[in-house]
Amino acid sequence: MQLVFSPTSCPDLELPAVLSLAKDAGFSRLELFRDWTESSPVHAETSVPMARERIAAAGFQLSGLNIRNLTGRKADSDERNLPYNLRQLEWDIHLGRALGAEAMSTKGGARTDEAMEDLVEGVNTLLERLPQIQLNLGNQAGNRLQGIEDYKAVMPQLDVRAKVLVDTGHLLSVGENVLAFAEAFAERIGLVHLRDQQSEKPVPFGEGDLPFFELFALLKDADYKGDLVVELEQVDWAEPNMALVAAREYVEGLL
Amino acid sequence: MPHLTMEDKAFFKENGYLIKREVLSAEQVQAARDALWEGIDADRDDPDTWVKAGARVPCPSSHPAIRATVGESPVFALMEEMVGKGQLNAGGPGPHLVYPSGESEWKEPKHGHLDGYYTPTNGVPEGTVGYMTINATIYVEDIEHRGGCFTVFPGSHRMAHEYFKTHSVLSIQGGSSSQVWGDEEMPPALEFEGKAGDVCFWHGQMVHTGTKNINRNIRMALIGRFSRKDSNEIRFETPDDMWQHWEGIE
Repeated sequence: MQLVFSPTSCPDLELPAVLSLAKDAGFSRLELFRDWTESSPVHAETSVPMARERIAAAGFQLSGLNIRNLTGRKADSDERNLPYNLRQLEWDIHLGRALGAEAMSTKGGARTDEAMEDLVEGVNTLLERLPQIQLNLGNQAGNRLQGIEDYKAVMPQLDVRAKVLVDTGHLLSVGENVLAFAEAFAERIGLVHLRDQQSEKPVPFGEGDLPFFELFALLKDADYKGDLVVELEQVDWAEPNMALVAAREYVEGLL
Repeated sequence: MPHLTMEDKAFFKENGYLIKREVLSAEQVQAARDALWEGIDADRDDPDTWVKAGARVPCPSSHPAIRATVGESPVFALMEEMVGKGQLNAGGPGPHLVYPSGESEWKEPKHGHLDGYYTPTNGVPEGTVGYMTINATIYVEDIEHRGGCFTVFPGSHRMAHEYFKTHSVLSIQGGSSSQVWGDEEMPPALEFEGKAGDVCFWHGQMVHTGTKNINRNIRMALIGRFSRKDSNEIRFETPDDMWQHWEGIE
């Protein structure tokens, strides 16, 4: 298992500053977000080759790209239109591939039956069209994929290249048992986002409710060899660099 | 037997477009024109009824006579001579009509747009950009100056390539050239004036536009957009040699 830097700790920094911060904090792998953070590779004054070269020049490997959500709807009008939404995701996936990303991650739409149908059909359609990719499906509070019951309903219907992204922070936010969740899908875990929290509040690694040791033991038993993404959000207990170093060292100490 | 000379290819490389005359047979032109008229709400024999007469797309691109303008003419082979044999996805053109405006004022355009960009109504998904290698504008009616000619900005394909070396492909809203280049930076517009059966081939990153039609004829054009089969592998790339993926262009 390898550690990965997430720009969630510094959403306002652009890519060069993110790379610098990540390097200073001792990382050599990072993931990026298509939207949400300023380090998005979609930046007006940056071409894809420029972003790719910056990542390589800093000595980093892009482990993954968080692409737009598979909502089944148009973003500009909220009209149900799965083919339109899939063209967006397909474009994002090609963007990730052009950047050298090894995997793509997405989430679902609203917590409706319609969004569930579109998620299943959409994921299978994408994986059929793009035989070379793996798609990680992340959980989030309020999303179509929020907890264990949602995944139990969805995963059996999906191509085997659809994997589970275990997002510990969002599981803790909705009161889900992280270990039970990870155990239920141990064979299909494609990625793990680590965030420690006390209820919904992010805290320094080791001070919250996340059972790191037991989770890592479970992952090892499942022969998980994927990435562990260190996610820090709303750091208010230290400088981001210090918090990142502490989080990395905490996880490394347990592996 | 090739359709293009070295001079043709050199012209395309320099200017980003190439006009070839009499590419379609009279029968192909007639069949396409008949197909278009099936969907035009005007009297074919009375030009007075053609002013602002109807739909920009009066018949579907799947109409056999429309598809035949590429599939059964030399148009596709001509493009392959530039891009490479077997390198292009198959495809067909779609109708793009410009009806007489009934007006008398006409202005030469200073700017145009790149294709493939999102607008709220054009069907391109937001936050994506369509990728095209080479396009073809096929006239199935005689089109003269100020008759709604398809219009290109020669050399703008090279300007676009340079721009995208240091900018995101998503950085131009709607693909509008005015967002990137000032009036003084734009090359003069060139109207594609031609007879039915003539074809203008143009680079996928060529700035172009339509113009107002103040003549009597309906601008009956078919436009086909074509991409390389490996476009998903190269759509984000801006190689130093912009002709790296054009096997027929040296």
